[in-house]
Amino acid sequence: MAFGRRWVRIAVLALMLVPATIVIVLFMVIPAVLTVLISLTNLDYRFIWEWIGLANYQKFITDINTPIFVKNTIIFVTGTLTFNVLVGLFLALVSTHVHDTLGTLMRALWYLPRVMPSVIYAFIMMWIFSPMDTGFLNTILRGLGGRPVAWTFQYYWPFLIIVNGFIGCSFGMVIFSSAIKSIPQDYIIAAKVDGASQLTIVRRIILPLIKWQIAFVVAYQTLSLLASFEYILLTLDGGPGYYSTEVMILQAYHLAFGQYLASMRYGYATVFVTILLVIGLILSVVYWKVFRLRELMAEPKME
Amino acid sequence: MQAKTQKSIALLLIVVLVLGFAVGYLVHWATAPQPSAPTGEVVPKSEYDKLNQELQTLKNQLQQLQQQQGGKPVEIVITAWTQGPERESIYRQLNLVEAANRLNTIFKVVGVPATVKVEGDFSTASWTDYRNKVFLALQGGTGPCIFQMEHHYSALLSENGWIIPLDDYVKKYWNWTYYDIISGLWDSVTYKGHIWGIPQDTEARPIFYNKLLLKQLGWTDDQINSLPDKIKSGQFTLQDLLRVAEEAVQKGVVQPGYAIWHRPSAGPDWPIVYLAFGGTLQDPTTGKLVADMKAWKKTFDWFYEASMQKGKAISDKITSLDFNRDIHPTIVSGKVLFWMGGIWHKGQWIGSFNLSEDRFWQMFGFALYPAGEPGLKPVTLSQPQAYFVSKSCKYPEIAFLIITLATDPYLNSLHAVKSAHLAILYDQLSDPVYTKDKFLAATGYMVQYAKYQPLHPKWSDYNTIIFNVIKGIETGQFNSDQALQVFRQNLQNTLGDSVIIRD
Amino acid sequence: MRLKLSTVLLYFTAIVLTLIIIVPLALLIGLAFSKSQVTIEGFTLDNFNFIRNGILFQENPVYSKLYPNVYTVTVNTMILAFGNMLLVVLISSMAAYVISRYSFRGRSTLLGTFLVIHGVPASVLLIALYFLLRQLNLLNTLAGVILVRMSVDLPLGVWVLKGFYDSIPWDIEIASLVDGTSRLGAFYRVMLPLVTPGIFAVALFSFLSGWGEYIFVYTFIQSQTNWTLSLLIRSLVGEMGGINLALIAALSVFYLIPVIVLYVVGEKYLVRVTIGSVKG
Repeated sequence: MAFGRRWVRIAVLALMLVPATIVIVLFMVIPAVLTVLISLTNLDYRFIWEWIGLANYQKFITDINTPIFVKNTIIFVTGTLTFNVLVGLFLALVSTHVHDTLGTLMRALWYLPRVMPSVIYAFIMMWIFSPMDTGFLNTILRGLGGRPVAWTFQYYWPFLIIVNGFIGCSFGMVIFSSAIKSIPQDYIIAAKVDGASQLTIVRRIILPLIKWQIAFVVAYQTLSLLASFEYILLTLDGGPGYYSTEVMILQAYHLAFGQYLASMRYGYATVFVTILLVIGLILSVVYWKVFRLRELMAEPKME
Repeated sequence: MQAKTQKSIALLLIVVLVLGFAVGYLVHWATAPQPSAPTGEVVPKSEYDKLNQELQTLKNQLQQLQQQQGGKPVEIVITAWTQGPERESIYRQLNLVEAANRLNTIFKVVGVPATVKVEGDFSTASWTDYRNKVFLALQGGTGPCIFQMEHHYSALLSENGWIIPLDDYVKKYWNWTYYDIISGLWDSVTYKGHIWGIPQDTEARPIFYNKLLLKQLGWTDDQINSLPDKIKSGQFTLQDLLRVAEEAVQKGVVQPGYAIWHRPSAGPDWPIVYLAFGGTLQDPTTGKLVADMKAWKKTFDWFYEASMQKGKAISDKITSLDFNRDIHPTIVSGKVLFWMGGIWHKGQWIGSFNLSEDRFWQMFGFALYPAGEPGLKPVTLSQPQAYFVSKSCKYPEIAFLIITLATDPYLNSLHAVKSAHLAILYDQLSDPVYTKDKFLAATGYMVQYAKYQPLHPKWSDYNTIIFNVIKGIETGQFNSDQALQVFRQNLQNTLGDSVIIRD
Repeated sequence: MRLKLSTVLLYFTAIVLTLIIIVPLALLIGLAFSKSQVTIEGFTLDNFNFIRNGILFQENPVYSKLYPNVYTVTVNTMILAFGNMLLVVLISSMAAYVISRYSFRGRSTLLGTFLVIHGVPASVLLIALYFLLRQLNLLNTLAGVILVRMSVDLPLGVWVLKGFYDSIPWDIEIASLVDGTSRLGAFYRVMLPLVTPGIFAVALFSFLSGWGEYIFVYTFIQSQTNWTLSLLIRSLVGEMGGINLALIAALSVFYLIPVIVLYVVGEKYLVRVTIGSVKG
């Protein structure tokens, strides 16, 4: 009976879709809503749910430390983003222009930090750049007769940007190199025949053709950098000075889960998160419009 | 009655009596506890009776439980979480385990049908991580029966209803060990009129000075050895210390920034300089936290003068260093002139950092924090650790008994000597293990000058602000006036009316 | 053949870049075998003594009880990795199929939600997730961490597999349906085999993501017996960060080996995952 079969079919399809939907709603959507709700309470070490309206937001705006967090977030995001895109591009260009084996090897190695467990990566980077005499770079410097440099202490932003950048640039590298590789060879050959230098080819042909991918990487990584703090937590933990590298999301984490002695200020912490969520949502909608209009939201093939 | 009947009755009576005695003796012989080799002291009968009486309710409870379980002896597991983080303090956990063994022996003697076991981790994680773990568990009702935490958390823990007041138990078992606790310690665990924790150890936070470096600076042995006394009498002040530190840097005896070192992280030590300048932390009538801005200004001035911006005594990098990776190895290698530390650091240096006992006495002297300026008194701070019993514990009295048995002069001395903490019981001061330790004997006097941190649920926030601001001074972000301003604003924003700011 | 300066420069740059990224890995291995505990010096296998029976600090019977057995912890890490992998593959392969093939109300919203979630790291929601897991009694359990990790990886899995499904011509499906198989049958017997590369990619990616997970384990797990290798290493860094770097490096190498092996085998697939998330 066609009618019955139709319902069976719908049931089966629904069943296939339901687990994913439940999971997303339970572990992503509900927590997001919960975050916003908590920010309207003064949930703290007493674990009492008490509505206080926008009081936390008022505190956020008037607190003297807030501009520091915002400034740090901006520095971190723009700095790492620039590194990611430029280095990613550079790696993609170099690896696609050398012999294929070397290029593949290059890309494989540069993708590795992303796959490596974060604690190991943070551990080794902290040792390399350690300000103490026993750090790797300082050992080399002393061996060459120089004096040790307080890397993570003095150059903390470059350090952080390098640590996060080594992980982040592989994203752009992979996307750009695949895009470059799919550029029809005819364009390049024609340009070469016309006598164009390699550099000109890069500037005039390759870059314009991967504009979309570059824009996408910028958009995507801005979002993810706004909310990324794991590597900062594992290395400098907001230091070295008075909130020197404390970005907004890290401060939220510290307020909730403890920095030194003070912790469990959940209500106030979720203010930071809510603001980031709102920014993230707005940006996503913007990206949606810009990138997805001509995207594979194409209606599917059945029914 | 006829004589024959009388004789028969008399004979019968005698036989019954003899039989009765025989049976009585047999019964007594069969049920008497087997005399075994005494495992420790033999308990005199009066003590035994008292024990019996004290444990009567507990015994009844457990006997009931045993019946419900079908006659098997009750097996009780008491969860206990303790924290170092230094591994030398592992006796905090081990003593509880041993206490359970002792409790089992007592139970057997008195006939309580239960065996007790202590389970749980000794944590070497950071204090923040440990505390988060405990708070979380307590809040969710899955907390351990016994846990150790800094004494001043009595405030927060009791405000949240996570722990039980121990007054009644302390009274009940007073004669077991509590009569012997050094009296000042009770203040550290009393909040709003109740006792919330049992002191586990205490310490003092002295300033260690490097004798070899002082010699290089030109000090005579006499001057070096009389330093602690000069500090005690108020002759040598913090300003004098700063001058010596700066001189050491100028003369090249130490590298710039290596004259005065302190902990790189937040912790109890931060208010000490403020206390040395005469500041107070808590208002006794309202219980609110207090900030004497005049004293804070002097404190921040002192740190500013000591920082790399001025006198170059304290390194600007120190707050980025790691205790175990950077600080202890450097001090042990003799590169630092003054170390604002804790007495247990000696335990760590010898236990984990390859410093020999002899070398320690050769290299280091130790004293109270000098008075801030002439006319004030030298100070130090003690932060006793305490054992708490959580509200969700199913057998609070047993948990309390375990803590009581662990609070024993011998067991506590094992902990004190290994980890270099101070005695909590008067009897310890004559315990052979404890008295053998030269260091503990030499630092014992400091407890008389020691202050405690205030018991207030928001004390940790206050303390973190102190640390953050001083960090800002040292890393060159603030001068002393800016620091004062930031400090005031942070206090107001975070603490609101919990703090009284006195200008 | 003329050797242009630019070509030489190019190859030189490529080699330098390759070396730069090898340095951290080489240093790690050097430290792991180092005799000195704080820097690279000499060669010894002593740091790997824990492999024998998983007990750290065996020489000290009191201290060795401070840390869980390395093998217990490794098993936990494997449970996390495999659990994540199985759940992600299972759920996303089904969901992606439906999304790719069928139109239904809310399809765009669902896809949109996946995209947004994929972009913003879930660590943002740690506070709320903490309370949520507490309510569900999943705090301090590996199951809780697996569920959270899985929900973070799911959007990526769906996007990647959807791309694979999209690229399969509709005819194949029609052919099998004409033959009389049910939709489910068509899914299992025809579609899945055709997207095997995608499945493999998603499986690999989610396994590695579970294997290396730190922040969720750190925030949600309290008992030592539920630790994973990332937490064990991190706690050693915290406690003995300056005393015994070599031991930490040795443990890290131990932790890293499955990653390297899987990476060598499946790097191509992993890269595909990244690209797949772009093209959707």
